[in-house]
Formats: sequence, structure tokens, C-alpha cells
Amino acid sequence: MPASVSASPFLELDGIFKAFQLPDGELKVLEDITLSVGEREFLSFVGHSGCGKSTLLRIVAGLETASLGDVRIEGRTRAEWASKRPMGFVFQSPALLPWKTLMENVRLPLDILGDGASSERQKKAEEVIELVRLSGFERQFPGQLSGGMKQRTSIARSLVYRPELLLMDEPFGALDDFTRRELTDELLRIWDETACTVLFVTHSLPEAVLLSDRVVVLDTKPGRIREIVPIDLPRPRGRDMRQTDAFLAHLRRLEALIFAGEDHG
Amino acid sequence: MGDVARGWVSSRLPAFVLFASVLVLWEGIVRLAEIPAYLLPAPGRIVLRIFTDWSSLSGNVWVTVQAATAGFLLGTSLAVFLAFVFLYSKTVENAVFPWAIIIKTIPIIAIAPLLTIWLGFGIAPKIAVAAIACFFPTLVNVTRGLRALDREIVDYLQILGSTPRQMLVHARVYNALPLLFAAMKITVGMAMIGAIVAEFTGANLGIGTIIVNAGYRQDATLLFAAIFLSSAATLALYYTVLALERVALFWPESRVDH
Ligand SMILES: Nc1ncnc2c1ncn2[C@@H]1O[C@H](COP(=O)(O)OP(=O)(O)O)[C@@H](O)[C@H]1O
Ligand SMILES: [Mg+2]
Repeated sequence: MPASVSASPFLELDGIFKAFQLPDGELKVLEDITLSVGEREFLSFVGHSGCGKSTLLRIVAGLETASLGDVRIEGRTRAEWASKRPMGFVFQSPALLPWKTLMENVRLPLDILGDGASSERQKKAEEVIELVRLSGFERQFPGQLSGGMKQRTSIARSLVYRPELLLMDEPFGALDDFTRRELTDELLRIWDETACTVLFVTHSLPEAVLLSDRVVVLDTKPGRIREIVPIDLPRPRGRDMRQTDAFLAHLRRLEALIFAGEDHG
Repeated sequence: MGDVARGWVSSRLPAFVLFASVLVLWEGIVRLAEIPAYLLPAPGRIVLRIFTDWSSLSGNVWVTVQAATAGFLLGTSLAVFLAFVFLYSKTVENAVFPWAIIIKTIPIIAIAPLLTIWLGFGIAPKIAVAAIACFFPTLVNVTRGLRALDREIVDYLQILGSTPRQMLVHARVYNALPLLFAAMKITVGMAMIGAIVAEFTGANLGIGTIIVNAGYRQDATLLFAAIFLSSAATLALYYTVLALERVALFWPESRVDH
């Protein structure tokens, strides 16, 4: 599955600017983000904290509006496209509904969208719960799950309605290192099984290299694209790849790019 | 299970011991110092009085409990209803909320006689006073609970394209439940006080009337008996709310502790 930019891009960001109005003036967060994303591409964003990664994802999700510029998906406006089938979104915190069981949380999108008969929804939910390896915990409440399990649930509920676009904002950022690695490997497998385009924000460079087709390196204040690094490692990828020369070469390249601006910044 | 029971006993034991010691001490001091019963009756005497006057006392407490419960239900329902209206109309909230604050600032003791003039000597003024006493804390808490959803939960439901009604039934209602119960645990007691205060200002029946009459006759023993019984009744109401809370707040981490 060579998933780089195809002839007509799936998602286009066209000259996105974003500034927040603050009491003491304007805070410029994003400047001229222009980018095409191919269908089924896995695209990561890395950059220093506060460079506008979350804001960019929120603009794509329609939670913020750009000050200037366009988001187009399959040639349509963002809102038009999303009204047909919502995109998936995984936040840094799991943001599950504490009063619903794991099963109810995963089913909720289907209930809200009114997708199919009740038994069908149940079956779809069971399938994704299996996909994220949480079978057996369906009746637990989020308050009874570990951090990693909550984040798996959050991923499951975002996949249950088979979105064609999945946005993930530091989904593993709040997890400990072991759980984080484990989930990164899982995500690789899950992404192989689902056919969706992913925009992924992370502050872990190894994670970005392992998962992505391309990595977008962002500058800080205001956030603009410094460079887009293609990761031409073969797929399917796995954890054993972390030690290969090609992997480490990509890692070093990204590190150099990220910390290049540091000296005079 | 045995552990749970033992844990319960050992956690309640200190309170129990203290309570029993106070009673014993009280009884002892009254007897040794020969304090006359019209000043401070001994606990034994009060308990005896509760037995001898049982039918009158229990009947009157029951009347008050009925009024307090009705007022509690009325005040709570009105507050919850209004909180829902506020959710849908900021204009209504802006118009009505100042009135709610004004009602809150009026001393209950001052409106009780007024309500008696308007509503007569039956149960109606008691219900009204109890309802007013319950109203405000519930209104404030439920309004906040319906509004203050986690931002990320709101974002998530918005991405799914939820309608306002779906947001209400899947999230807001549950978010408000713990706050509703936190308010109710406080207001049941206020309802009981409200009903008793209403009885002070003229009523035919109720523990409040017993208290007023005992006061006129300087019958301290009867006063204490009435106080004991109304406290016991308030406690029973409180534990009823607590039991309902156990059922309603079924998910972990949902209790706002008292
Ligand atoms: N709603 C908002 N109002 C004002 N400032 C905001 C808002 N959201 C984000 N910001 C600011 O925009 C900048 C970028 O934020 P964010 O997109 O969260 O960065 P990142 O995710 O890359 O760490 C930060 O300086 C942040 O304080
Ligand atoms: Mg962020």
C-alpha cells in the first residue's frame, strides 16, 4: 500500500491562518499551512509545545474556525463532508463518558448517528472492542479501567463508525512509556486493518517515524511548516524496526530538524 | 462481606460511644446536681415522655414529615424544571435568576406568617415554606451540572454531530445528577426546618405546634421529646435521600461527598 500523495488529494489544507483574539492583542498561532494529504495516508505533526498542532487538528475537526484559508476533503468543504460521516477524533485525555460502560461508550456514536438496527450496532461495537483487544471488559465503567485501557476504548469508539479520516491529538501523551509503546504497535496493526487517513500529533519522534508515511515538522510562533519528511520505510512495519539503520537515520534527521531552530531561538 | 460489616461497625463505633457517653454523663449530672426537670430533664425522663405521649407526638411528627416531604418534592421539582428551562433560554435565566436570589434572601421566618395568612392553617403554607427553603440550592447546583460538561466531552459529541437533545440525554443529565443529590442532601433538612417554622406561626397540627405549646407551658421535657423526634425524622429523610443516591449514582467516581 504505497500511500503517498495520489493524483487528487484526499484532504487539502489551503493557506490556513489562525490567530486568537486576546485581551492584550492578537496571538498568531498558525501561518500559511498548505498541505495535501493522500487517501489512506498516515501523516504526523511534530513540533514544540504551543506551536499550534492541536489548533490545526481542531480546525480540521471543525471545533475551531480558521482565520483565513480552507479545509477541503474530497473536493468538498469540511462541513459538507463531515455531515455525511463524522471524522474520528482521539484526544490526549480519553474523554469517555464516565456514566456509560465501555460497551455503551463504544456504541454511543452509532446510537447518535442512528446507524443500523440495535443488534447490528451491538455487533459492530463488539468487533472494534475485539480489534483493540478489550473483549471481556465491556461492562466496566471508565473509572474502573487503567489509563491504557481507557485510551484503547477511546480509539475503539472513534473507529466504530468506520470514519475515513481519523484525527489523533497526542493520543498516547498521557500514558507511561511501556503502555505507550504497546499502544503504538497496536495502532500500527489497527491502522493496517482499517482503511482510513490519519492525522496524528505527537511529541515522540520514534512514534512518528514508526507510524507515518510523512512527518510534518512545524516551526514555533507562529506555527508554519518547516519541512515535510517522507518516511520511506517498508510496510507492514513492526516494533523490530525500531533498531534498523534506516529507522534511526530518519529519527536523526527529524531530531536535527526539530532542534535546528533552537540555537538562535 | 464480613470485613465490610466490621469496617462499618468500627468506623461508626467512635460516634456511637461518644453519643452514649454524653447521654450517661447528662443523666448523671442531672441526678447528682438535682437539676429540676423544668430546666433540664434527664434523658431517661425524656424517653419516658416520648413513650407516654407517643400517639400525640408521633402523629404530629408524621404530619410535619408529610408537609416537609411534599414541600421538598415540590421545591426540588420546580428547581430542576427551571434549571432545564435555563439551559434552553439564557433570556429566561437572566430574567428569572435575580428573583430566585431575592427569594433566597428573604428570611423564612418572615414569610411563614404571610403564607399562613394567604394559605390558611392547614398543610398548604407548610408545603410552601418547605418548598421555598429547598428551592435555591437545587436550582444553582442543577443549573451548573447541566451546563458544566467537560470541554472534551462536548467537543467529542459535537464532532459526532449530536443534537442538543442527544447531548442532554447522553451527557448533561448524568453530569447534573451528582450535583442534584449534593443539593438534596442539604435541602431535606431545610425542608423539615421550613415546615416546623411554618407551624410556629399558626397551624392546627404538627410537631411545630407541640413545640410552641410546650414553650408556652415551659414544659422542657416535652420540648426535648419533640426535638428528639423531629431530629430522628430529619435523619430518616436524609437517609432516604442517601439510599436513592446509591441507586441513582451507579457509576464510579460519581459521588460528591457530603
Ligand atoms: N482557545 C484559545 N484561545 C486563546 N489561545 C489559544 C486557544 N487555543 C490555543 N491557544 C494558544 O495557541 C497556541 C497553540 O496552542 P496548541 O494548538 O494547543 O499548541 P500545541 O498543541 O502545538 O501544543 C498556544 O499558545 C495556546 O496558548
Ligand atoms: Mg496540543
